Amino acid sequence: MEKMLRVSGGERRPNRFRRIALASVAAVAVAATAFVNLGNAEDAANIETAIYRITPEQYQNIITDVFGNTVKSGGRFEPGARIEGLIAAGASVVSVSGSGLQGADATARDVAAQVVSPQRRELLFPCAPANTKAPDDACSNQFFATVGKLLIRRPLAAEELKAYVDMANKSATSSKDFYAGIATGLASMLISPEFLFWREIAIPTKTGYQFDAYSKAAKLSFFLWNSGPDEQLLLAAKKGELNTPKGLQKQVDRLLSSPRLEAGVRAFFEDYLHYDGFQTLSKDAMIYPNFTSNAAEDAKEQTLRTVVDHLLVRNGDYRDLFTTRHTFLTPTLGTVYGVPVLHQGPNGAPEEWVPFEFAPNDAHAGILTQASFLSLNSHPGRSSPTIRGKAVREVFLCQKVPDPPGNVEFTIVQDTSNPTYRTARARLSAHATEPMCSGCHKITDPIGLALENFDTDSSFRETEKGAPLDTKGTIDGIAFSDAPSLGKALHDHPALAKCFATRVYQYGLGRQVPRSESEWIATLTADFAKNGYRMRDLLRTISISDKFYEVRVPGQKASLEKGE
Amino acid sequence: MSFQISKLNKFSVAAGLLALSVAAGPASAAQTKSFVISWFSLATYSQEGDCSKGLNPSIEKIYSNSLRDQGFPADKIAVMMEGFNGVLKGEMLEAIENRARVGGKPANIYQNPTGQPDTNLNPVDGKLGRGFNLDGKASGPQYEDPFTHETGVDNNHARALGCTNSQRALPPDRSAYWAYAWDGMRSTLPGWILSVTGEDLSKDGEVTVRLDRASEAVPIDANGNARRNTTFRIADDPRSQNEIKGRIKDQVLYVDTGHLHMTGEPFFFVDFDILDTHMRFDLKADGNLDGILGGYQEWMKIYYTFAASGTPQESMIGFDTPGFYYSLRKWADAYPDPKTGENTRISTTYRLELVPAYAVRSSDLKADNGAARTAANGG
Repeated sequence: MEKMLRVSGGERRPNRFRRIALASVAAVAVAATAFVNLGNAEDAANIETAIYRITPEQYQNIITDVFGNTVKSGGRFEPGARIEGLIAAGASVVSVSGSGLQGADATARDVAAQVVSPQRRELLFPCAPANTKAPDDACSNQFFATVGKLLIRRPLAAEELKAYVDMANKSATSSKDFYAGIATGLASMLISPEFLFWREIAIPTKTGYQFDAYSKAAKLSFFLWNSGPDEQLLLAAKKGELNTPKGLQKQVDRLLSSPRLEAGVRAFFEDYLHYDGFQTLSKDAMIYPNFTSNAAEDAKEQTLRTVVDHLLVRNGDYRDLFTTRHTFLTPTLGTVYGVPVLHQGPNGAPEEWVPFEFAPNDAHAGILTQASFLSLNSHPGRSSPTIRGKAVREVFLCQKVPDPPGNVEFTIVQDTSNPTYRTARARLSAHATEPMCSGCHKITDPIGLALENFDTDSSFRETEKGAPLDTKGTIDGIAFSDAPSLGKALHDHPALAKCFATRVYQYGLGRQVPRSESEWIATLTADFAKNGYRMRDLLRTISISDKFYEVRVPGQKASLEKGE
Repeated sequence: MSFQISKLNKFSVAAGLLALSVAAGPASAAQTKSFVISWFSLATYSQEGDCSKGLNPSIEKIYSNSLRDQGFPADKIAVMMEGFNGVLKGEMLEAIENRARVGGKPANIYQNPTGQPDTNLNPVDGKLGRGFNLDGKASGPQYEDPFTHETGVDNNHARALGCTNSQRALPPDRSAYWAYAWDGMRSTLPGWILSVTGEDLSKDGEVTVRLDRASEAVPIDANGNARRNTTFRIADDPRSQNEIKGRIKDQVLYVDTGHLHMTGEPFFFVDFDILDTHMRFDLKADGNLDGILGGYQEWMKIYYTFAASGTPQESMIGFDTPGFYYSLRKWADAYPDPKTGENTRISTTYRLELVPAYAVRSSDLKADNGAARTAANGG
């Protein structure tokens, strides 16, 4: 099964196989052996250039789009692979294991059961069966044609539709329940590769290949909305509008002006800022009792709200994210930051978010000084200038910092009780006398030491073990004295905007950006600057560019793997 | 009043549905620090030999004696006590709950504590005890405070009840009753906020002390303790708003007089009314307050805190409710009733711990987002 589902990005396929998972009533194994290969001679010349596994958030977003937000997709998904700083760039090199498919099967059954539940069926079904205790061809056809298009991200072929309807009918006959039959068919659609993976299909042209319109639609919607295409986008694909500059721009502008852009921007930043790390984040409760799991969740949300507000609501300059004092807080976060934030509802009610502005002379300025960055890039029981500095270099400047050698002696750095080295700066200075360590620490530690006013839980401090903190330093020749001026230095750093533009483009592509595209990246960065570093403009530039839809034939893939 | 002073460089403003203003308090240059009570208990100083006549009987002994006095045969009492594990039920519950006799008939003991004879609980008669010399006199049964070395200390509340095991604790330990009572109460009782305002709280000087009831309960941190730096809204109910004069000397907060009244959690405090209030709190380096609060409290209201919950608390924690009635009444030492001459109040001292908090009054709240933003921007 795993072999069958393994992503095969780039290999040429003589036939386009449409694989439909049949009902897996008893076990995943049933589904695993029951795929039906439906040959389609018309597609013989097409190539499948990449397959991307959808993320748990995309799964839920699609389900919400199709069935509403009361239908939930629970369960655990297998972790993604982070490539060049982004999990999205690894989406085309991950597969679904046997256990992962079991999980997907359970989720699919659960979602299907919710959809056909008596409370929802009237709302979610486009038709009612003539007899609820028997199959109903017409209603099944209507249901699978309607939802299948949105789930599979293209209209179902006649034989696919027939397969799902047949499956539903069989199940309805044996169970004497029309809706149970629909649930069987829907569950099998939700564990089909066509749903769990989105595929880029290229079709031959006179000069080479271009993506088919439905692949373009999926590429756009996953990039901008973190979900599958809606009816309008699929219609535009069907009409061929996405293959014309005017039609493409019209759809891109529609997607960019939609409130659903927020979901897309959030998804990018969750990936870009490595928020998968929150799944395992913990702090020593004895030392940092206010940093509860709720505080961690709120910390993540705080930064995402700051980003959305700054980049989308205010249409602000991306670089100002490193200096802005505007943010949002909950009462719980207020206790972490040590600032007053009022719980405005009754006792026991969920906490509300309130806009908050740190004062001009406050140490908090920009996302580097927010609890998400500070806590995520620290140890459970102490801060870490090295990890924080490394994160700034790698995440925001796209600079690779080598991993430490395997035989490094960390005792001095880890021993926070040593009275000789009371501050992290003192401990790191002693540690960096090791020649094998000093090289990397020179490029990470000065950055991280600027953030030492914030403990691992992000609470403010002026001293460590009674010793005053020295937060001065330089980054690539730009001097700073504390966290806010570090943010300003980063704001002005020439690599910042280029790194961001590269990562956004890479995120949209779902793969690494080869060095051969450095000229395009330079153009993209220049355009980003020309547009005032506005994210919506950057997304538009990418979304309507030819580069974004450039088909990489197998030969190009090979050259990339060789280190192009 | 100001809600943020400990970190002036971090002075910030939340702007939302409600915005917090930073208006100063009594004086424009005043500094205010607020705290929420995180631990509250009777201030005892229990030690070997402080009950020279011995500790009071256990709850098992109290109940078996009562059953015997009610005429239950010994073998039946043995069976009842065999099945007693802190929870009363069936015939035993009925008998214990109605062990009072009013007009010769069984009656609820908690409502009729005099419906049984005085069990003559033993008082604490050691030399050391926590509290204040409330009456300024050196006469009568008094203690010396082991920490402040103040003599003539009046704390007859602890004296009256302190030989019962569930009330006994030597600081920093906590007695079983107060661990149960406070921890149970804390999750529902709105926070009690103590605010101190003065010119410069790092220096000696006169201060204004407020004790107010918040609208919000105290949230807990990852260790189950009161969460530091929480923001509380002060409830508008004037019955739980108090302002008294105090002073700071050598980073110790003192209050030497005043009247405090707080509405309480009915299950534990009917209300909390203290005359001749005294306070002595250390302003600790970690930002917490730690110390004692004393004065004269109506003994009957203290009794009600025990009686209100009836058998569940009495049987589980273990104390003699009617015995407490007689003991509190016996040791009441102030404010005699003009008609009967019987003292209505008893000297008491409570031990408190407080953590930093932010306190906001309705007068500090503005409904206008824009104004708050403008204020936050300095214009």
